[in-house]
Amino acid sequence: MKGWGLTGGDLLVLLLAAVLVGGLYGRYWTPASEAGAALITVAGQAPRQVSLDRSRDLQVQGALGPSRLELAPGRIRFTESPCRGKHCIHQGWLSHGGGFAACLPNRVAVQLLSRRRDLDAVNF
Amino acid sequence: MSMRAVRRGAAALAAVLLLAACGGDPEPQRHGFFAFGTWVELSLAGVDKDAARAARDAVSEEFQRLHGAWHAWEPGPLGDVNAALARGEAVAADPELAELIARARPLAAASGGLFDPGIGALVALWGFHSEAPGPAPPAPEAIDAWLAARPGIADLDMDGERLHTDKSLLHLDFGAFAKGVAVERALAILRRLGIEHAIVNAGGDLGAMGWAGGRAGSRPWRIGIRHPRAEGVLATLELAAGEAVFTSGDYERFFIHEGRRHHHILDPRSGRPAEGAVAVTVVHPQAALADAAATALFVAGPGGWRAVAAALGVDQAMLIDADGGIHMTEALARRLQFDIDPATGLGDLRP
Repeated sequence: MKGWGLTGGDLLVLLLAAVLVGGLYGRYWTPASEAGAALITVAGQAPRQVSLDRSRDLQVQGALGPSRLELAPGRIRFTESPCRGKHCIHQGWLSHGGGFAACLPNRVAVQLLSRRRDLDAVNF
Repeated sequence: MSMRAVRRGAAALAAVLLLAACGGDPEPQRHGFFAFGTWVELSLAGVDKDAARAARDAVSEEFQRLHGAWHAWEPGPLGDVNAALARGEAVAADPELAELIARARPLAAASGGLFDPGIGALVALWGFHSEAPGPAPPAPEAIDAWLAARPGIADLDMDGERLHTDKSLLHLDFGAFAKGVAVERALAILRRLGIEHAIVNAGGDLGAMGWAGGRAGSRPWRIGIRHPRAEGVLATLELAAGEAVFTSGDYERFFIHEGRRHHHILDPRSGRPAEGAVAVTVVHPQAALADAAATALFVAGPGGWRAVAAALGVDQAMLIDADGGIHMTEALARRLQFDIDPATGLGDLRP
């Protein structure tokens, strides 16, 4: 080491720099596609977070009756809801962060948690 | 290790800790509720959990109250006024409603009637006042009858808070305005509660104040503008303190009849859904004006939107036409970040 002209302090600086870069990388770099999660809200109840890591069905009890949701890796959709318009079902799969579907009559809302953590809100 | 090395190491450690603190503004908290028939979400920065929940409850309570006060068809301050006007009676509006009307009228006039809260009867003809519009367009004769009367908010005689009209088809509906006013109210409530950094997002239309990092000069709020047909975001935008972003889109409320999309943004000149535009986004310091302008510019369409924007004092707006062409004012084009080349457009967006 002496031959490189590095002191113990230099090594400490290099080590801390490496830790800093690694830390920043871990904090700010988010992969473009991760399985993700969705937030399901039923009026009057605390929002519930579900993981979208595997395929399954989920039933939630809304204001009018049960709504069924289909969960799959990285996406979620309404498959049944006791409303007239069925807008929630027609909206199809949500697969992008911030994507939102709701059955307003049944007061059930689903939001795909943002993969784009750089966005605070989506305007539409 | 020499003392010098230790000192250098300590200095490096201090630098690391300082840098970590710089990047360490906490993420904004999000709290939502249902109101105005949509999902409202507050993003609050620089507040603790209890304060955020209390703020959510206060805004929610105000929104529920406004929903009742300004519902065009249910009994309540506005519903009662509409019922009286339909009977040809003079009626007193409560001060809050009178203020809403007084604020909307000059905007309706400046837009040449393209934004007009007096078209409630037309909205009802198309069924867009109900949860499930459609399934078919109204009979052409019914639209013609409405067009023959062509009632608008300008036909409302207003003497202080006393209202009267000669047009029995005049029915007030603040669907293109109330949300904007409510967003302004919400921001005022938050300010009163000592919250300086927030987004109020009412079903995709939003107003922001302060900074996402919870302190002045930290990270600005970043907004995505949704693609009008595909999922995902078309462009992103960083908001200067105190701006609102409102979009009117043909995808928000519509029904499809015989393969044709009939959306909720009605053109008072034709009595039918406005043609030519698919979505209009307006950025403006006043949420209520942004709300009204998004509707007016949408109705004006690709040919007329720039003139209407100028008349309303809007210098930041974007219109997407049915061919997928993206039109922007220069002031907004400078700020938007696109994932695509906006000059290429989005392709045919017809249903």
